[in-house]
Amino acid sequence: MSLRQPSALGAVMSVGAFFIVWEGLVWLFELPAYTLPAPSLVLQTLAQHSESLLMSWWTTLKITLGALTLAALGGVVIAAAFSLSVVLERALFPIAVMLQVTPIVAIAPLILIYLDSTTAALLLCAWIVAFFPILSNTMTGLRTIDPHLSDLFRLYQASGWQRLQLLRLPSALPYFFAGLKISAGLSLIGAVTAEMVAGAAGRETGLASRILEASFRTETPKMFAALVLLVLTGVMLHLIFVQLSRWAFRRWPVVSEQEI
Amino acid sequence: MKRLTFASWLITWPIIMGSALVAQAADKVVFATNWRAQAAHGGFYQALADGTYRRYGLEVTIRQGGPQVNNRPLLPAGRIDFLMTGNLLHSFDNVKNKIPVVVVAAIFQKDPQALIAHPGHGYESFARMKDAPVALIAKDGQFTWWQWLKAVHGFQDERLRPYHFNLAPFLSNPKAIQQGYSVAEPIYVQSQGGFAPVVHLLADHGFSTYSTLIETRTELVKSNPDLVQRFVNASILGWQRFLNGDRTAANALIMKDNPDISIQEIEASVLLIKRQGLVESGEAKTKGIGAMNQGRIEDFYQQMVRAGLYRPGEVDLSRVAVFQFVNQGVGLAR
Amino acid sequence: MLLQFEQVNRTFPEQRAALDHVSFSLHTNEFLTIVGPSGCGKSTLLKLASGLDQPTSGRITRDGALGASGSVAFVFQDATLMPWASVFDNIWLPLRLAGVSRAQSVARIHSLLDVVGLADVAMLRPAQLSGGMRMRVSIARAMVTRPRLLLMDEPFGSLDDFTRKRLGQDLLRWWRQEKMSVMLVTHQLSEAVLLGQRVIAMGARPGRIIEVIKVPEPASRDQEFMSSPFFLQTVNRLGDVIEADSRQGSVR
Repeated sequence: MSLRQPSALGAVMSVGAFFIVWEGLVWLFELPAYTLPAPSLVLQTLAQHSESLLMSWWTTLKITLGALTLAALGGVVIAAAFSLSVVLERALFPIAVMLQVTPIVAIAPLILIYLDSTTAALLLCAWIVAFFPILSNTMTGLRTIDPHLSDLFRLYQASGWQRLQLLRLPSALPYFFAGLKISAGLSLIGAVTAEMVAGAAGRETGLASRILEASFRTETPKMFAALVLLVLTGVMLHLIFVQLSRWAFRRWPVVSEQEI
Repeated sequence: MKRLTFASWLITWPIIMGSALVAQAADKVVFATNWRAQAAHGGFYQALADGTYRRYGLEVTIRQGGPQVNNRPLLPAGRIDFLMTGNLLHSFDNVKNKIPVVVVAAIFQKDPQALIAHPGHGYESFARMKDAPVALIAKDGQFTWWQWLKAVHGFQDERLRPYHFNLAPFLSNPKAIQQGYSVAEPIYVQSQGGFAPVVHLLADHGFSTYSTLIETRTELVKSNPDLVQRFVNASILGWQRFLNGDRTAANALIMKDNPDISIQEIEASVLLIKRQGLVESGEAKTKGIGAMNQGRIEDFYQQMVRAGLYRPGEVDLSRVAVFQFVNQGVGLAR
Repeated sequence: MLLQFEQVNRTFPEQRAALDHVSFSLHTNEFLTIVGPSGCGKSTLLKLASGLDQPTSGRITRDGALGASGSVAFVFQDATLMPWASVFDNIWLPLRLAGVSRAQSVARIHSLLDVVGLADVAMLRPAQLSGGMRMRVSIARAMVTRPRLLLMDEPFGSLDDFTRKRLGQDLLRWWRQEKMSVMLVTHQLSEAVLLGQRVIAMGARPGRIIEVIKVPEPASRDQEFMSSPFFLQTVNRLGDVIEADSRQGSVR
């Protein structure tokens, strides 16, 4: 068990070392704040503007979690539908692939033309970025069934629906979680990218708008403060899903953590 | 000795000095603009195309900006030597954040930043513009003069939509308004949309900033003021010639840098620049192109304070611009 | 007669006949063991018997009672339990698939857990059980629908000798209690003779029946039986028969 979990202490130490080196470099080379602010200055700025930055952080987090939830639901439902109908899969899967590779930066402005609500547009953009790993992984999981279990279900004359509910979906669970872990980070990136392109300053400002604003006003420490919040959010999401995954499969070590 | 007029002395002096300088190695200088090459940058391209920069001992490279390009951080970083900026708000932010750059000339006496609308929907009156259901404003404007429009003229964030420098959303919605340069977008709207839009210059409603400012590092002003002076003077002369002389070479250079622009668009824009008196108006008429004064800077700052963009005294206004390189009568039309 | 194979062939596209002209019959409540070298088609035979596979040619006649869902049960070598479900839910599966609710199944499942000796692990997951316990769960699941025919493909293959012997005795007891026919595939000659009333010896390349040996007595298959001369002779004969066939096979 200890071999599989990276020690928390080691992670804290390496991150700490990173910040110390950063602070040292700024001090050593006397780098100005508008080029590379020192971590101490960034933290100071974060504390100074904590209220407004935290509000923006909350906005971005809401979009991220909303998009992730929709991606999880959408991914599973679509994967299940594909597993029941090969015709549907052949027809629609290519579209899913196309959506995945189209850059959000290009289609966000178009989405905004057709959707009146900015929130809906942001959710849709972040969803497009995040749903594919869940869809793809769940599809694989729905197909990767123990052949003996499959035979058993056939032997007892299980219906297609029973197979889906009792055999395929549970079999797909580890794969779904693997996709979910990936999509958590992508939801955040999607939310931020979407907001950078499609968001409008003044209303529903998430961290992306704050980063842009700070950039345009040449307030580099503030920009870094918002970036730090973003990175921390990404790390936090990752850790949450790793724990969630461990909890879900706590009595199911037939699939080891390393495989996920 | 024949008595030379002030202006002709000014024309011959650089030729005399320049030929002496040509014998020495020219100074390499990089100048970055804030958009893709257009008529509003014409004077700089003129100075490059007709050899004015070279005569002043400068080997200038012009580096375009663009929709996804932000050249501003390059100046304090030393990657460029001179920078063109669109309004004094950038300069106020620089001083506020202790970035060691300073304004040395103001080519446009008026900011061409404008809001445009479809004719025939009541937008002929500026007061009605704030009621437009959709206002297409790009990121840069959202964080700067839009805030002024909200505070002083009652525009609302709910109507704001991001502008991606594509005219389609504006053209397809007669009730939409969008940002533009008074000497550029109306031309494109005419050619793509087939109509002449209503144009409201922000400058006519209190946005009194200078525009097309030349910025450089404070360190360069201290260590090599002669270089700065040469660049400013050559640029001023470039503008004088571009507006009033033969600009064929400059136009060719603009179109080379920005293949999307046509000669008709450039010429139409030049006409508008002259008609709207952006360059040769106000103080520039007596003190030369690029003229600035501290009073106007302070006045504009107060307006921005009242609009809530800055707190009183937040910006040390004495560090915004230096005036030693302009107001000398360079570039006065004959 | 529960099941009859008549000249059954099963060929797969890429290989030689997996089963070649196999004929035998299975009686009600009979315990049949099948033994042979690898590649002799034992698993294919079981699959055909279960109805999960169809012969390429030949005929398989099944008693009508075998058509009902749950009348045929299968136990695999690896227990094949659903790792995400509890022991209880795993055993419930065949009933659940037939539409029987959890409440209605509780009594039967608990009685089976008692029968296989796993009364207190109902809520555990398969990963928390030993190999032997998992096999018991698999057998309990197989018996939950009161099958007429129980098919077992090397069920004790991955267990240690001690567990193997104990489970073998338990299986005989359950067979007599539940009144079903059993077809058990094994690669251990002694196990085949110990458990079966008849032993089918198979040869490989192609898979076919070489000989059928009767082991009618005694009723109790205990230690005493295993040391009897009859047992040892039968095991030896089985071994010789299979060996002779495989030697011939290398010449074929």
